[in-house]
Parts: sequence; C-alpha cells; structure tokens
Amino acid sequence: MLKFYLKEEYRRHVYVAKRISLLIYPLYVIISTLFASYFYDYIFRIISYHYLIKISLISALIYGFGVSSFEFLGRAREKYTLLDASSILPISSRKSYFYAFLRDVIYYTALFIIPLYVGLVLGTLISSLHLIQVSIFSLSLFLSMLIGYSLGYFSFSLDGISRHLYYIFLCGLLLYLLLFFLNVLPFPLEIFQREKELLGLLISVGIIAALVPLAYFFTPMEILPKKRVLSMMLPTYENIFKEPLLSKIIEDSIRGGILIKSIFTYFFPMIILFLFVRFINMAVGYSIYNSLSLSIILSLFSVVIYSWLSVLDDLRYMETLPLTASDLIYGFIKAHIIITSIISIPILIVFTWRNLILLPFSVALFYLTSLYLLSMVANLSGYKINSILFNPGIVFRFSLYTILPGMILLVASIQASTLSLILALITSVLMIIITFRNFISIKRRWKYF
Amino acid sequence: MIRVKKLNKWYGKYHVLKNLDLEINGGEIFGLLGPNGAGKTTLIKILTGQTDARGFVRVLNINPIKDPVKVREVVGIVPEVESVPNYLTVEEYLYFVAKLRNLGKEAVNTTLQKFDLEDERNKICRDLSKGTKQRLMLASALIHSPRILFLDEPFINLDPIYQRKIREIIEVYASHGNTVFMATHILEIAEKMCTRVGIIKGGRIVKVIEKLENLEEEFMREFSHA
Repeated sequence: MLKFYLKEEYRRHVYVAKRISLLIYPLYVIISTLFASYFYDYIFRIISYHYLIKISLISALIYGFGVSSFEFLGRAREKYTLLDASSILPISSRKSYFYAFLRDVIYYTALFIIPLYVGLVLGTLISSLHLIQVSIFSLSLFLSMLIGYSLGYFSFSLDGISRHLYYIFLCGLLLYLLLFFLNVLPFPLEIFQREKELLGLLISVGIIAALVPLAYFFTPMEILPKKRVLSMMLPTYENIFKEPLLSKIIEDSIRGGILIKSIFTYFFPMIILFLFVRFINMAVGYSIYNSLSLSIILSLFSVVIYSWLSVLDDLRYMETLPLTASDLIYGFIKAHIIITSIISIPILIVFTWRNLILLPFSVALFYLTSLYLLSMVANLSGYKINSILFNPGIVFRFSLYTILPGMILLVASIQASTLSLILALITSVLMIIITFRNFISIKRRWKYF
Repeated sequence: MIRVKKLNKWYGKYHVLKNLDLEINGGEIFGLLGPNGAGKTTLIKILTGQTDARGFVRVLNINPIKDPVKVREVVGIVPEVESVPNYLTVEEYLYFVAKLRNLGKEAVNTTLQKFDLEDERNKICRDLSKGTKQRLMLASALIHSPRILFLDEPFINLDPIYQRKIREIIEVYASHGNTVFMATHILEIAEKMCTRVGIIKGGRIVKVIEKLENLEEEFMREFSHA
C-alpha cells in the first residue's frame, strides 16, 4: 500500500514541476550543503555553533510540523486522492492516515535529509568536518523533523476529537518552543547533539514512539466534512478595502486560518529571528544587525505568506469571471503586504525603539525588498507559487535575483560608511527598476489561469 | 453571435483543433457533441477567452483571443469541473461575482430567489451538494443576464431531479432570445434541448445537424466510420 502513497506524492509534485526538475532537486541540496560545509568555519564566525544547532533543529521540527499539518489538516481534504478514496476502499481511515504519515517521512527524508547527509559527507573531503560529526548532525536533524511530523500527525488526531484541544496543544507547543529559545527548557536532541548524551537521543525516540501510536488510535474512524453556516461578511471587508477581489482574498485568509498558520510559518520564525539577532548583537558586544538588516530578513521570510495565499482557494472558477491571472496575482500581492505589515511593522518598531530615527528607513526598506521579492516570485511562478519549490531552474533564477541584491543590502546595512550607503542606494534604485519591470511583465505574461 | 474560421489549437505537439469552422446565430441552443478528448472543452475555453489559439474567432463581435476579459464580461460560463470558492458562502460568492460585474446587491437577491438558493445563502460553497454547486455555478453565470451562455457538460454526474431543474433554467433563459452553447456527450439531452447540434471529431466540426429526430443514428454513423 505504502508504495502507492509514495507514487501519488511523487506524481503530485511532477504535476507542478517537470520530472527532471524533481529528480535534480536532491542534487541541488547536495551542492548547496557541500558549498556550506566548505565555508563552515566562516559561518561559525558569524553564527555560534550553539545557535546554529538550536536554529537548525528547531527549523527541522517546524518544517516537519508544517508539512504534517499541511498534509493532515489541509491537503487531506483534496478530492480524488488515496486518502479521499479510503472511505470506499477496504482500508480504515486510521491505516490510511498512518500510511500518509509514513509516506511524508520517507518522501521528504529522501528529498532533503539524505541529500543533505550526502552533501555533508562529501563535505568532509574538502573541509575539516568529520564523518561522525556530520552523521550525528544529520541524525539529529532527521529526528527533529520526525518529532515535527509526529506532532503534526498527533495534533490532527486531537483536532478530530475537539478543535479546542487542538488549539490548546498548539499554544502549548508554541510556549515550549519560546521557552526553549530563551534557554529555559531543554530540547533533547540539542543535548544529544552538543553533549553527545545518549539520553537525549533516547528521549527523542521515546517521544516519537509515544506520539505515533497515540495519533493512530485517536484518528477518527470516519472523517466527516464539517458543514459551516456563516454570516455575510464580504461587504464589510469591501467597505474597508474597496476592491472586491482584495476583500475576498482577505476574507479567505481569515476564514482559511492564515493567521493561525502564519503563527508557525511567519510569526514564530520572526520571533526566533528577532531573538537570534538580539543574541548575535549581545554576543559581539555591538549592533551587527540593526533594524535595516532586520527589515531585509523580515521581507525574505514573509514570502511564505504569498505561498499560503496562493493555495487557500480552489481557483479554477476564476476562469469564468472577467479577471486575468495577473489581476489575481496583484490581489495576492496587496493582501500579502497588508498581512505582513501587521506582523512585521510592530517587530521593526520594537527593534528600533531606542533608535527611532532608523524606523522610516527600515520600513521603506522592508516594503522595497518585499515588493521586489514578491514581484520576482510572481513573475517567475505566477499565482501558483508551489511550482517554484521543485523547479531548480526557477529556484536558481529566484536565488540569483533575490539573494544577490539582498546580500548587498544586508552587508551595506551592517556597515555605516559612505561606500556602503552608495552601494545600498544603487542597489535600491536597481531593485525599484526591476520591480516596475516585473509588475509590467506580470500583466503581459500571466493573462490566462 | 459566434463566428469561427480556420481555428487551430496546439497543446505542445498535440494538434487539438484543426482548421475548425463554426457559425452560431442568436437565440439558438447549440449543442456540441463529441466523445471525450474531441476538443469540446478546448473550443469553449477559446470562445470564452480562457486560452489562446490561432484563427478567426468572434463572440458578440469581440475577439476573445485579443480581449479575453472583455468577452467574459458579456458572456456566462459554466465550466465542466465543479469549482466553487472554499471559504465564501453562497450569498458572498454571488455578491463577489456581482461586484466584479458592476452589479448591486439587488442582483444577488434576485438571483438567489430565481435559482432557489435562498435556504443555502449562508452555507459555505464547498459544503454544498454536487447539484446545488452546479445550480450555483449556473446562477453566477447568469447573474448579469448575458446574451450567450456557455455550458460545458452541465448535466454530468447530476441526478434526474437536478438534471430537470437545470434543464428548465436553461430553457427559460433561451426562450428570452438568448443563445446557449452547450458541450455534452449525452445524446438524449442534446436531442431534447438543442435547436442544432454540431458533431466534433478529431478537432473538426464534421457535421452540423438541424433535424434532430435521428440524432443518435447520425451520431453513431459518424463514429462507426472510425
């Protein structure tokens, strides 16, 4: 049975990206990891080993939790899938969802963790990294991701019992992660990674071994669609936003739980980033990162919101309306700016509290970088950003066009000198020109859905 | 109303429509009959500005290849796939469509009433039954009283009760002098409802039948040669 679930996942990805692109993807991870391992001592000069481990493990956990939640609480509702068909097949929903869990573990381990490990092993040949070091690191990452998957699977089964239980669990998890980042609570895999303490490893395996059977037995025998009756809200949003399409997207994002989702995909990483920046500044004794550099990083992270917006609705009916795909893209971009402003601007204000003179520049830089990135993403991938994820050609172009100017601005914002100011100005002007060009190109390129 | 000359469409290396010619007059219920993969949906997509093509196409004197939005402003479309918004209620969806078409709240209330959707107004669209979703799609396609309605397999997967309801709505709409362009592969429906039927085969309209009494025979004859 499992092989059919794996095949289905593979075909889903091949549907949005070319087969060759998907097969090349692990190679892309190997090369990137190899590159990172070659420069690892430079990386450790900027980020301490302690924080790198902390961030890597938590990122893997959040990634696993995100993938799992997206699968079980979102994509599982899709029609014409094996999960959907299980109700008419001689297979219980418990087993079907368990296979889906196993599928995700195998599929994404093969796509990310194994290539990452291969890259690191190859990296030992060109750097002073040791095989045992990289093996422990990869194992910790894998287990952290697995805990994330198990938590997502477990939270889905809790949601089946009661939505309130699910929210309590979510809040508890969020609180734990915050306390972990503040060094109040430990994370077993961090202990294993740092102290080589086997107990940390055993506790982690124990957590997974406890969560998975619990999730299995709590999975409802029958997943019934929840029918909802809601009052008319669209005119209220339209009074605020004036445009029907934008109002609809905002309503979708509220009803589709984008605010809850963004806690894990945007707000929480932002808090980690905020704390991380504080730690770095404290560690070196002066402000390496200021609100200008933070605003660039904030806008980089925020692209995930555009991704969420693009998968919220079944957009096929849009083809029947007097709209073009570019109208929808512009709608997404506007909604993105509104949502991210609510989260990012307060963070920038808190960060610049003692030096408010930088705030207007930081805000301007945030919007410039956000619009630049969004215009780039939208121009390359249209209104289905997921197609970008497994297409190395697009990922490469996206990386080239975004990381390069982002890095220039980041470096220029850290150093206060005339040269860096000129560099930042030139880059900003170029970004404005490219953004305009992209917006014009979107109109021309994305006519049809 | 609709004029098509030497229309060609390729999907990659697949030549889907081959020098297709067609002319449809006002007030007709024109049925497009053909097996799966014959090009019915592609033709509707071209006529309604959902995809591009090569050749001469005019719908209400608008070139849908050049002005895709303009053509969708004046026609109504019910697609083959039942696709409705995930998070809007029935009333909100109709309100959204009305606003895009510069119509007021009255149009929403009239449509809800006309299509017997008042009891469903506060339900989320995706929670509706298949038949009600189809009725909603039809309601949203007719909210602006278009002169042409395009329907792609409107009766597929519907039970006889809903089939009859949808049929009645279409017939009332056509009785007001409007044009219906309907792709279907249900011969019985085409025979009962249409004024003319075009048979599409291998990307071409191979026959246009005006006397529909022997439609089934004509249709089978066309495909028995294959």
